[in-house]
Amino acid sequence: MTTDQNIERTGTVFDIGYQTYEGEREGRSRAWQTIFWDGVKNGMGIGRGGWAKILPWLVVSPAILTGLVFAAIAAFFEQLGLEVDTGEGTEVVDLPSHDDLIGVIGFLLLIFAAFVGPELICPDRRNRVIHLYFVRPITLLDYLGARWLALIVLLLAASLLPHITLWVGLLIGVSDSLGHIQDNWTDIPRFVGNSAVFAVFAASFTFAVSSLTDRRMIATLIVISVIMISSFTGLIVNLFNPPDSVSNPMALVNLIDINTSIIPSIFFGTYNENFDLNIIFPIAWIVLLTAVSIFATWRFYSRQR
Amino acid sequence: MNQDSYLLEARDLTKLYGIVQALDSASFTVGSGITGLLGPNGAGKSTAIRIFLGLTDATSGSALVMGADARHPDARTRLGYMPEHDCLPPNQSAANFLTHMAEVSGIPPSRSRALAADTLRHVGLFEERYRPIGGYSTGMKQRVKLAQALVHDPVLILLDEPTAGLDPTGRTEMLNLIRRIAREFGISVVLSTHLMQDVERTCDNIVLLDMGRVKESSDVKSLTEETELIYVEVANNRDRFTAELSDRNIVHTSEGIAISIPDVDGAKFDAIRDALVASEARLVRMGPRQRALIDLFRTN
Repeated sequence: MTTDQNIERTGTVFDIGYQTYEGEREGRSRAWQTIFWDGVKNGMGIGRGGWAKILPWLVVSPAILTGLVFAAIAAFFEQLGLEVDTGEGTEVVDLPSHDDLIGVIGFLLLIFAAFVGPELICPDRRNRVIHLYFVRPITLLDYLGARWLALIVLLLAASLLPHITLWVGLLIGVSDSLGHIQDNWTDIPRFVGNSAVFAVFAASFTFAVSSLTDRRMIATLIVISVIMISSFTGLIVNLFNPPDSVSNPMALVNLIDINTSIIPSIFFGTYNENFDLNIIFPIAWIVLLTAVSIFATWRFYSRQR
Repeated sequence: MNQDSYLLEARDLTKLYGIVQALDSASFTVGSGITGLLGPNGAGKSTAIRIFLGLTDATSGSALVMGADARHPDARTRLGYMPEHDCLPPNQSAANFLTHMAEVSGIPPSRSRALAADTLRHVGLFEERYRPIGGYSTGMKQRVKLAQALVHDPVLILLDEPTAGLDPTGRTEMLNLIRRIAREFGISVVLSTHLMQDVERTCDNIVLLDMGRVKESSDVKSLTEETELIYVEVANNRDRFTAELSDRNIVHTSEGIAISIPDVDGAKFDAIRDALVASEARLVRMGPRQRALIDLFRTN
């Protein structure tokens, strides 16, 4: 065996000193992509504590579960036959559909946005890291745009997962899969469109709220409170005003209703055939979206300057 | 220095915050090396830096960064900034944070991690790079702040009060590091501070701001050499000695136990000798002293 004394030491430690960077500089596009992916990772809790990883799934799991339950119910009735005897004749069973799912996951999606949205915006301001972003080759709009798109991608994923679960479940459950696709292909643009509408609105709304405070939890609580109040008020309005008399402008207080109504009322005309003010929902959506986006940008801009 | 080679150039820079004038037609240039941006609190140093970084717009005048308009984002591609205040994410490791900041500066991901590790090695945090920043000492946090300003290999870095909150040892280490950055790394530095000793110990050039105006802009060496004084200290008959100086029309001021006499030439030396003899004052010490930068505030 060789002992230490027998080893001839020939190694030398060189300090190569400071090396200037001669490689490519990708400028704003690289900065934009970095901020976007950092937002996606933050939103999913990657690189953060255990609770941050679990929380998004705690909100998304009930939505996926709902999709699974809907698919199971549909498959169950498919097995039994789609017509049931009511005593006064047979009646076709109305199977749970993507439209039913939209109402359920709409609420969960806004809750998801309430937790994830402030996470992408507030810590940077609270820790004042945001100052280090703006002394680099990006603008405020680059930063906000990248974070906003990151949140939209997360919300889209959270919204589409339950729909895909239901779609696949229905395909597996029915005896004639090809026929099901032919009959129900319009479900796909409907739920994709609805998910996009929800994602864009929820992202902009949570950003506007997050621009008011540096504290995540306060922003989350404000978003949840607004959703709760709006849904509760909408419920009361609906109780006293049947759907065909929605000409009452109070119908617009329900943020979830505004979002779920757009795609059916614009593209399919099926939201409320008796409701000749269908167009009011898309207009309300655009006005709200513009208002919250301008407000969020103005808040960030005025604080930065 | 040729106009194209200025790293920073302020042309009649004026900034108003409501009725408060932070900068008043300030014009100065910053070249390579270490430049001290010196002035008391409220002199306009931070406002000038914010304008050069594109964080705020000048009310009038223009700010150029390496010849480009400071308002354009691309002007910041080769610029680094170390703020005075805390600005670090406590839950991230220094390595991850610097990698992210390198990418935000436009460095491809394949190179960012290596640059981050290298930079942390240069500022003396290589061993600690995977620890969360929240657990770092004040001195270590200052080094991370400096490292994030360096990670994308800038041409110029702007340091805002880099020694704030550091103990004497930490302060000396930070100033040594700043000197190393300029001398060994070849990165020019603008050191914004109200501590004149920091400027005297570190800087090659100085821009002195006061009430938003440029009071002096020169190299540190010439400022301290040009303002030579003679200090005279006597053990007794001090009043008689100063009276004798006045009789001989020699301008003098009392500074503590010493008497300072500016602009001394051969004739004045003779007059001082005569005054000493006439006053029967016992001479303790007489000799030239380089004026400190603080004298700029006293005399101008």
